[in-house]
Amino acid sequence: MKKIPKQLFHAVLLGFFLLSGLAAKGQHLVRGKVTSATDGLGLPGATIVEMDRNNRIVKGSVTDLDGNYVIQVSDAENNIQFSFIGYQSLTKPIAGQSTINVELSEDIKQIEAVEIVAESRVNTGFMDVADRDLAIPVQKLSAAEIAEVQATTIDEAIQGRLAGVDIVSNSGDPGGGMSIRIRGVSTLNANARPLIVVDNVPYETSISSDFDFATANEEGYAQMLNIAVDDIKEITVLKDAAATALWGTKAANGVLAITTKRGMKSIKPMVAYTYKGTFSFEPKPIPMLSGDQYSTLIMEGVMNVNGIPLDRVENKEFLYDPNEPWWYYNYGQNTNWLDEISRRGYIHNHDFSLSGGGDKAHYRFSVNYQDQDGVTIGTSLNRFTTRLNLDYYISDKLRLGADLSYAHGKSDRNYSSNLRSVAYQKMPNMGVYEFDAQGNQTPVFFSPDQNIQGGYSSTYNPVAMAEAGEYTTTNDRIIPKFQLNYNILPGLSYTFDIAFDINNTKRNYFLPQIATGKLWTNLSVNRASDSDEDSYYIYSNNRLSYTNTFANIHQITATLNFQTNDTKAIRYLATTANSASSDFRDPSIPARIQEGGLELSSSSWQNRDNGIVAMFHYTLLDRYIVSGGFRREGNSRFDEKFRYGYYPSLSMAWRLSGEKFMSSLSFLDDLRIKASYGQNGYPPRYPYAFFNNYNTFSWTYLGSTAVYPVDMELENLKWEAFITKNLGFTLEMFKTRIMLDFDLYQNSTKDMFGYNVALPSSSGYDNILMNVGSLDNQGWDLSFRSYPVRTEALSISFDFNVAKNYNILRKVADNYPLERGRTTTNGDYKRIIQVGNPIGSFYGYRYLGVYSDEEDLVAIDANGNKIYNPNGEPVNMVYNFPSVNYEFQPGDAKYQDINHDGNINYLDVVYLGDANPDFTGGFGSTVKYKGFSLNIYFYGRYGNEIINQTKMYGENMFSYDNQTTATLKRWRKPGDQTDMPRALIGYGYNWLGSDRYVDDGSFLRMKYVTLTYYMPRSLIGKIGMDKVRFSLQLTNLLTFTRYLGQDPEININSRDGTIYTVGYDQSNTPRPKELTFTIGLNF
Amino acid sequence: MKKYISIGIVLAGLLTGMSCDEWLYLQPENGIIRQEYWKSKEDVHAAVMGAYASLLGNSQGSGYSVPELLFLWGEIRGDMISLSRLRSDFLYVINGDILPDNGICRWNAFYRTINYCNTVLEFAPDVLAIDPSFTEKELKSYEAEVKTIRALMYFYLARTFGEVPIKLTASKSDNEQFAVPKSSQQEVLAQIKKDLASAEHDAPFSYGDLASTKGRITRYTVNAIQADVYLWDEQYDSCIFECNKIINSGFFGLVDNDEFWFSNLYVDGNSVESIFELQFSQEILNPYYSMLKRNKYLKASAVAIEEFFPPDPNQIPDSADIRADGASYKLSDNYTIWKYIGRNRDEARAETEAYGHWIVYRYAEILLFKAEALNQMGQGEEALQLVKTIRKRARASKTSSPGEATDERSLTEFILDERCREFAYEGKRWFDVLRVAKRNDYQRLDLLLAMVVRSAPSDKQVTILNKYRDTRSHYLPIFYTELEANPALVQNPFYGEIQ
Repeated sequence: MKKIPKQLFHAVLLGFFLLSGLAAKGQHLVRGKVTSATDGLGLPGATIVEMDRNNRIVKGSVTDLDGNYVIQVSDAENNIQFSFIGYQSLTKPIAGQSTINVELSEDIKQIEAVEIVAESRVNTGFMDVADRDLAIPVQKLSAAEIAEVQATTIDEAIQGRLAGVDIVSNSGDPGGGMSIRIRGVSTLNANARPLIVVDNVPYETSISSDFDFATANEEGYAQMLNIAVDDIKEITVLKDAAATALWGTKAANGVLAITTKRGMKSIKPMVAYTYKGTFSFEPKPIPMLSGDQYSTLIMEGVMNVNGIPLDRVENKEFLYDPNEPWWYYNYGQNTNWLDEISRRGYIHNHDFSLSGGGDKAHYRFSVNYQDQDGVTIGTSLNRFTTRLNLDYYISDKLRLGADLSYAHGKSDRNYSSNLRSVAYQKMPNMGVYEFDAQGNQTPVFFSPDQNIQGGYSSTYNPVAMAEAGEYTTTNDRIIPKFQLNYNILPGLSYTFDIAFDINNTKRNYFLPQIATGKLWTNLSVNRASDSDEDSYYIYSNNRLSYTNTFANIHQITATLNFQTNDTKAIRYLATTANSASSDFRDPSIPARIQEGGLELSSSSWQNRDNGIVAMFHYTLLDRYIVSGGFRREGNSRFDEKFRYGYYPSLSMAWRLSGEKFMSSLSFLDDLRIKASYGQNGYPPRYPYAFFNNYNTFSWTYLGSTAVYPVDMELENLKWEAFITKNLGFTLEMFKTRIMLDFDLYQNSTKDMFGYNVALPSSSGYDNILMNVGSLDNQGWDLSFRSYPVRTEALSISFDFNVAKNYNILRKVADNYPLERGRTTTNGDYKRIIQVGNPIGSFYGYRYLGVYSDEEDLVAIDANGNKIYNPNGEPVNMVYNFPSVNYEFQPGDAKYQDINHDGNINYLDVVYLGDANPDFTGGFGSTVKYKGFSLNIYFYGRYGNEIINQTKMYGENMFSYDNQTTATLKRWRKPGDQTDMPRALIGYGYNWLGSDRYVDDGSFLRMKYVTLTYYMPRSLIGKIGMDKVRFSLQLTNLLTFTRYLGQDPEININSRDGTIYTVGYDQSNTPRPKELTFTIGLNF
Repeated sequence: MKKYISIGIVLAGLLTGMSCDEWLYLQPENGIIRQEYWKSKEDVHAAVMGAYASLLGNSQGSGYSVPELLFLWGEIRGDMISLSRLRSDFLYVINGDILPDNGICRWNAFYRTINYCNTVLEFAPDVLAIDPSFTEKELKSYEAEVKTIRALMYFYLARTFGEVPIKLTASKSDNEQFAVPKSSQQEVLAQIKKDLASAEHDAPFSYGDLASTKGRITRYTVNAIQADVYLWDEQYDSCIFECNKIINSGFFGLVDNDEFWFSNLYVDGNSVESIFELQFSQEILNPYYSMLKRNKYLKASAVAIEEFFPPDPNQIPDSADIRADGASYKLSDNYTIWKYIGRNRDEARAETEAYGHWIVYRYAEILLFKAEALNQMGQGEEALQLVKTIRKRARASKTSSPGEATDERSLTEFILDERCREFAYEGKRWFDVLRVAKRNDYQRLDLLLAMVVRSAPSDKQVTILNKYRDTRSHYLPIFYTELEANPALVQNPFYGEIQ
């Protein structure tokens, strides 16, 4: 950072200024003796400190061997505090005395349990407001609720537990990450992830967005959210703009506020250790054809195209001639490629923490180590996280907090992200290892450069790729955070926060020759890539807050904040190829760098924003609650015209249960009606959009540098604006045995961003970023918690949450394409977005099965009669007359001729379903009996449709890719009655987008069932233990679904960042079933 | 209390006064913005080179690149190629099922280059005022280059799609109206002629070094394109006039038919015959090696070889037509299209040496342009002499000659066939046949139909013939994403009914 922001400088100055109010007075010498009240002997090593009026320590000293001390105090009006371990501390005023002798008495109460009675409060950011006074939709999950659950990441732990929060894992691979959506997708913007806030500091999870927009996905950056689950005290979800206003535009998609555990005042340090060990098993994959079945299908499919058999001299892959041993053995196998790349996975997780504190300082230190091997060969995750939270009470008025966290993570993935799909598609008649020309097996991977199926990158030997390819991501992240808190007056305090986030990510790729089989001069051979992405983030906040109660009926809290965020990121990338050996895996080793596709590049970007936020919360008579705020935010991603956004918010609540007329209903603890309104905005995902940027070609022309304009100046780009409205109630009854929250909401997105909006390419650009329209998300969420039984020995809890979200398109820009997809292209669906309708709908043909024979082909009109041509002959069904005019043949896919014109074309396209679930939710129960605890949790989605691409590509019989065993029932000869068309390699219209591939995506999954046993305290107390627990957990054991694909839990993300491609199942690694064993020890 | 008031004042000042715009104004560090560019003549030079560089490959965006399309648009609907490996885009074209979702119908790469040209034309003049060493003459010369490139791009578009949008301003901001409607082919041709006329005045004859003179637009390049445009537009005397400028310049000649002919003309490039060729290099390999050799989607059509290079039993192999086996194609390599693959007549290049140039115009073509125009003017004898010059250089076999072509009709066919032999796989075939076929209101549609039948799969011939009899089908459909994005566009007539 070249320039320290001016604000920061001022803020620091201000801090000094505030501290300088403490003026020095005259000095004075005090001496005396500290003795024990029990035996009267001197206490050696006792602490003597001088404290001022605010209990700030001014000076300190210790007693000698006999308990004598001398201290030079700076002010004779101050106090002196005497303390010794195991004794009660004593404070005496100096009052001008020069000798003070004291007796300390032993502290016997210390070990007694302390029961703390306090109302539960929720951290909404800058204002701590009691739960019961909230007027905004907020939901909270405390660590206790998820403590017994084995989860690698926070998002996994809370999956399905919070109403209106839809969390879906991206894939089953280690570090695969989760996509999180709060109350639906508010924007077409692919990055609709909520803001993560850790201990009141935003936690960047999309650092790299600028680097690789085209391919940036949440999966790639998932490992950045590396906070150990054990360190979390509480997770709060802030759902609407009234709630998120404090966080400004970053929080437009909602906030997931995480509070980590801190040290508490206690005498002896508390030590906790937990071990979790997990085995993971992969669910059974979809059965694929064996080598022999595959070869039969291919030869049939080629023959069906034009009656000419496959040339097996040119394509010896299907020759099966023992006289050519190399071909016979290498292409005569029956390989199950999926089995070959799968294995059993495991996870080892160790958590250690140490916490405690005295009068002046509290601390908590934790270490987490995790080692995970995924179920696909070549995938693993190794992570170390440490965290230190320190609080130091300098005086009653001044507190200093310092938090430090460091995480080091290393994850290995497969070089190719499509490994599993390649394994599905790979010719099963090939072997994993090569046979030599005599037909003897060799230990070398069989990786031909090319065969009939193609070559790298569309296909390769998946085992060789998994074993030899490399894609390692190493991430180091340090987040130091400092906080200074000064109580200026009773009720008025000033806080200064500053946090730094240094995030280094190194990615190493290596593609060895053996994985692709390419010739040694090919640029894919020994391709090594090394990229270093560093980001530096500085956050500062100056806050003035005021809390007071007047006349016992007016309770007011208000804050004024000034925040700055400054993020700078740089990246270096080197890609080379053709190093001399597959052991030379680093691009620093001299190799080819000059050619196309290889590069040596760097990039950087910076983003700044600042915000002024004023907020208040006012409670009258404990019944009428009003809170509101206003935020002005400036962002460097905009030009002057739209640089500042202004966002007001207002919320109100009325506690009915506090009114007199309700007092007869004494079982009511709390009944509150809440209403809120708020506005927020979102800046574009990448910086510098308001410039017309130029760049250089990666090649020269005639040796001269060549420059081109990369994009256009976006003069009209505005903030994406959100307006949220919420109406709900909270009900607590029977001493909080039943708690119910219900909220109705409407979130409107105005001037919604459209990334990659297709532009007429006559402009010279294919797409543009623009504000494309308005979208509403409306719906409700319900959260129910109950404790039907709550006694000392037995307690039962039952939780339930359900949410429904509708999205409705309200407006689109004139030139925004409302349709995407071609119904004339195999495998494509028409996706039409209409104003007033939800987005995410698919349109296509209705699939009726297969034309069994010639007779079946005759076109039928609306009355059920044959259609005749002018010559009086019956006409056969055709496809897309006149431009294609393909005459259907027996064995071809039969689509419903909706308009009965004998021609299958766009007029026969109908609505097939949509990707939006009707309901999402989860439920679970915890039963505790004495030392035993059983925790079970289910979650699911209902009523969404999925385009099952696994089925589409597994049954299309169109290419040389392997197919599923469902194709064994394909049509082969006239008269066959089946719903599986004939094989037709590379031609025909057998897999047009139709309801054949649209499947019901509803599912109910048993997320986990956990049995925990706590050893009785009477037993473990003797060996100095505080708590010992053992638990066993089964994860993802059962899934109830009608979906026929690999896994119905598909990513909510759209495939390419546009809303057109939601709901596609691309068959990533399915979520493995896991068995976890946990031991937890507390000392 | 005073202290707190003062603190309050300081805080208030802090909160309000600091939100300085300056702090929020950030410029990219790893690129350059327009306001900082266009400051010196070097900037202008680099931007002009950008227009050329975009002819070699895609710098951004998706779809086929310009050099791929130059090949595909000229060859894929012709009769010289056949499919060697499955590639759906190509298969559907060959089977006559061209739909608006076929990738070869994407014109975006061409318009990208056009936008780079427009950008230079719009901003280069500003540099005159800033850089005193930048002269008016240099500016005009640069403008001539980009205008010619723009004209060339529009000429390909007009011949391929018939009607296309004309965009002549730089797309610099989202304030513009992007929904540009189509213009008729005549309007596009008029724009092309206008650009070329202006460019001819300012384009230099040479750039000093050989590579630049052959790799950048010279005045002769402009003349070559003009000749091509006039021939297409049936203005034969203008065509001859432009051809003569090149022929009389004395700068160009035919490469000798000795053993080095192939390497001089195709492998090394920038020969005496070359007028304008795209300069691929080690930094940016041509796309043809991958398409024709590594993936080998396309190969030479056996039927076409029979037809155009018939074997001559009386001829000894060494003195056979130099353009046949080992030049245009390689029989022993299973009909590989050899012009971009061969290191010499026998050996293939390594993949990393795949930087053979793409010849846009060469002298032989000027001679045949002139012959074609002369034939239309009724000067058949003179035309025949020009064809013979080409045939003599090529050592063309008698078997490929129809004998003495005397009438206009047979000479038309003779010239067309000779062009096919001379410029095999140089992206000319489809445009040549279409030009001849459409002449005088599709007088020679038979030639196009004959070509289509020659390459069509036997079971598709009837369908394809029916389709190509509708002359509207000779132009490609507009790619569907363009129609979705541009409400002002209307699908080309033949494809209009397709949704």
